[in-house]
Formats: sequence, C-alpha cells, structure tokens
Amino acid sequence: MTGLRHEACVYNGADDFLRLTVPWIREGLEAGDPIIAVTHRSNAEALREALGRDAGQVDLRTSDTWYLSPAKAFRGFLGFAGAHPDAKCVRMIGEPIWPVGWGTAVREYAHYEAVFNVIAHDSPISALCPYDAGSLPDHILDHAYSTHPHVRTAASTAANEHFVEPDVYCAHLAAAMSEPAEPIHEIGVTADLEGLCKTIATAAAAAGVDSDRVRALRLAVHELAANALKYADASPTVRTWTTPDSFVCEVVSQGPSLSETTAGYVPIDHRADSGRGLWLVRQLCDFVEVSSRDSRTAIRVHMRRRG
Amino acid sequence: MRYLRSFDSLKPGDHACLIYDDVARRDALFREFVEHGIRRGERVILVKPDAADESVIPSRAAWGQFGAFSSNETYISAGRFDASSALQMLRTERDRSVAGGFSALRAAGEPPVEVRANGYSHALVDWERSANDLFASGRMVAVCAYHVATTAPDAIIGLMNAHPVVFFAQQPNYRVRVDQIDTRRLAISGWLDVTTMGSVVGTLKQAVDAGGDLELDLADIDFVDLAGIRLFAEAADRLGSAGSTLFLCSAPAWMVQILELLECFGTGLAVR
Repeated sequence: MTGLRHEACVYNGADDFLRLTVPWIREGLEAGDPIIAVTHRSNAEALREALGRDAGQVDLRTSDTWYLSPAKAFRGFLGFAGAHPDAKCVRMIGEPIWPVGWGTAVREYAHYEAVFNVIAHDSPISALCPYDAGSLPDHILDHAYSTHPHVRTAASTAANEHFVEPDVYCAHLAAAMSEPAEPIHEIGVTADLEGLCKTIATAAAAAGVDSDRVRALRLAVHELAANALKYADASPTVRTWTTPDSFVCEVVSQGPSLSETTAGYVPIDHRADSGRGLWLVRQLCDFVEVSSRDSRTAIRVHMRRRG
Repeated sequence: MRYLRSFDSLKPGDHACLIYDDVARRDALFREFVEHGIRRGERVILVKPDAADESVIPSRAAWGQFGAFSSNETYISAGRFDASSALQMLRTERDRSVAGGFSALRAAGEPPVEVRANGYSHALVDWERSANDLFASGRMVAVCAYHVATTAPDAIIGLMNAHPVVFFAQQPNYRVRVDQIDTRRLAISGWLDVTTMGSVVGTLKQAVDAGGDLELDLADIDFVDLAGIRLFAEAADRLGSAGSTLFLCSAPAWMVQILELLECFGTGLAVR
C-alpha cells in the first residue's frame, strides 16, 4: 500500500454495520495489519462479539472517550499509525459522535474528515468511516460524501463521484462561519497578554466553562494573540461572545494568511522553535475555526459551557 | 483597556474596574485607594456596599474631605436601578469637590447586587460607559468594584471593557519572580511568558551552567506559555546532555499536561 485510502460507509442498523466492517477487519487480520476501531459503544460491543477470539487483536475503543475534539481524535489516529512505523498498512475505523444541531461543531468534524485526506495522504493508512443512516440527518451524510474519496458498500468499494477537493471543501466550510449575535465584546491586543488572558479567563469562567478548560483557553488565547502581535501588520483584536453551547473567542489580525485547510493540523516537530502554536491551540480547545482570506485572518476557538 | 498592577499608579482621569472574588481583599484595596487620596489631598467618597468592613472609612481626614454614601441609595430609587440619578450624583460631587478647592474627586464603590445580578446588567454596562465622560476633565478618579460570583455572567466582560483601566484583585503585585532557594534550587512564581521571561533567563542560565541536577519549585506558578515551556525544555536539554536532570517540583497538573502534549519529557526533564 502506498498512500491513504479513506472510505465512507453508510450503514443502517447493527447487522449492516457488522456486514460492512467485520470482513474488512478480518482481511486486515489476515494480512497482519495493525487495526484500531473507534465506534459508538453499541457497535464496539457488537464488534467484540462478532470477532470472537480475534477481538483481542484489534484495538477496540469507544467514540465517547476518543472524540473529545476533532484535533484530539486526529492526533490519536496519527499516533496509532506512528506507533506502527513498519506496518505495510495500518487500518482504522473512526466513527465520531456527530454533534447534530450545533453547526460549528458539525463543520469542524467535517473539516477533520477533509483535512485527513491531506495530512495522511502519503501514509500507508486504510481508514473506514461508518455513518449511521438511521440516526444522522442528510446534511451530515452530505459531508460524508464530500470528504471521502471512496465509498464502501457490503458488495463493493468504489471511487466516490461526490468527493470534493479538501481545499475547496474547507474554504466552503470556512465561508459558513457566521457573524455571531450581539453582544460581541472587542478587546485590542497589546503587549500586556497577561491582562488580556485574565480578562478572557474571567469571562469564560463566568459563562460556565470548567476551570481546567479555562486554563486551557487562557493558554490558547495567549498563543494566538502573541502570534498575531508577532506576524500581523496592524493591531490585532480579540472578539468574544457566548452561544448556548460555548464561550467563543476570536483573534482577528491582518497579515500573512494561513491555510484554511491544514492550519493547526500539521503534526509538529517537538523540537522546532515555531509552528507549534496553532497545533497546540487545536489540542487545547473544543473547536477551532480558521478563516483566512483577503489578508484578514480570524481564528475562532470554542469552549463548551456546562450544560 | 489597560491593565493595572498597583492602585498607586491610578491618577485623576482614570476610571478603573476592580474584578475580585474575595470581599476582604476588595476592602483592603478600597482602604489603600482611600488612604492614598486622603494623603494626596483629594476629596474622597465611598459608595459603600452594605457588607463592606468599617475599616474602609479613613480614620483621619480633613474637614469635608471624606464622604460615605450607601450603595443602595445611590443606584436604586423607587425600587429600580436609576442610572441617571447615580450619574448626576457623581457629577455633582465632582463639581463640588473642585469648587471646594480639592484637586480632584476620588471615588470607590460597588453597585448593589440587585443591580449587578439581574436584568439590569446591560443597563449597567451602558451606565459605566456613559460615566467615562466624567473623567475627561482629569478632575476625577474612580474604582468600580465587581464581585465575579455575584455579577451577571453575561455582563462581566462588558463591564471590564467599559472601563479604560482594569485591575484584577487576585493577582500578586509582581508579574514573575525567581527566588534562589539554594545553589541547586530555584522557585519561579507568577506569570511566565514571552513578555516576562527576560527576568528569569539569566538566573536559570547561571544555574544550568553551574552543572548538576537542578530543581525548579513551581508551586506558585500561575501561567506558562510556549516560550516558557521552551525555556525549561532547553535547560533540560543542556542538563540532560551532561547527564543531569531538571526536576520540576510541585508543577501544577495543567502544566504537566502541556509538557506531555509537547513531548518534553525524556532525558533531562522530570517532575518531582
């Protein structure tokens, strides 16, 4: 295997799920491929039963603990591949818990599927992404067809004619970032990053963000603001607001643009002096949206509020 | 918005927001602010929250130099938040102070919880914004306290943003500090980031150059950014290449998580 094979499979019910995944897993076991399967809890149990004794050879995980955020799941899968450097093919099943009804979160999971094609393009990975037609709305299935170059059915696997080039699709997702409802609070970024971070932390805690997540947000905002000060042409600003789901902070700057597709998803060199900031921001925050066009870059981070 | 570390630097023309979570700390800051004004010969008024400690009232003041007002009566009339009469009261007091020969009016206070916590929160933000006009003449300085836990959550950032100056009561009055405990042990506390690390780099480098295991006591560190993490990682690299270790002692859990995420642990770096 030379590069990534990234397939979507749409299933309907537990039997259908097993019909699609079990032969694919057995094929991998016969070939000696390392396999990780991250699925909804009921599917994980069904898989364990269907695989019988062979279940021990598959790294079976459940989505609720794996998909803490798109970027964390992404790091997890790349980490699994990285742990098997000599494998001819690494097999992965990934079934996110789609946050139906939360537009930003759905777009970010769609973005994660799209950028996987780019970052893992040359890796010997075969990834199978199950979508539950019984519970997911059409617009999420549309994301599936737009972000997977191949589609698998029980009978066959074929090139997907609806696939959209990742750069095009990510630009389309970034364009869907909507202007928030009032009130929006805007703060100028100065060299006093401590004051800025404490302001944001105070507001986030008041909005019901858990204290350990407030600490993470503080560092994320710090890195975004410090980067904006370093690279931007004009004075950057931070805008903040709350939605029913999250506390939101957006760092806006004028200057060199970022890739809306890969920004913050490119694995970092842990020894490098730069390039780690946005990667870390994605690891720290629940959702991160990047819009970078017409020399204006907006990086919008979301932290869940206690429900 | 400008962030302040010490009340001493507040001067006529400043309209400051004091964010606090401990009432005793607020009262200590009020006391400091009031005493400072008394010493400077300014006229001082306190719009006193019901629960404020009596010690916020200065023991010595010249005739007519100090006045205390009830917070409830200042902000509420006929059971409702009365923004215009509160503003008028401050304007009158300012003009009276100047007419009385004082260099400026110095005011400290906190709106009552009825105004901070309920449906008035947006009106309160607007009120604070409109009060900025009072300071343009440079004859008034004020500190408006806001208790985080009892102020409407959606108003907090608006209130901070409405004030040109913000002060956080919980912060130490230094940014970052490095203390030499003994030759192989340093304590770093406060806010360590790319803007403050200059004062740490030299001491740390000296300690690393001296060779041998080194301990950093991080029990009182409040924040470390990527630049600070890199500082530790580089020190650990240098110690590690000489067969020694940098021990991070009492490092908070959030910091250990970041170090793990960035894969900093290995030769030369350990927690203790």
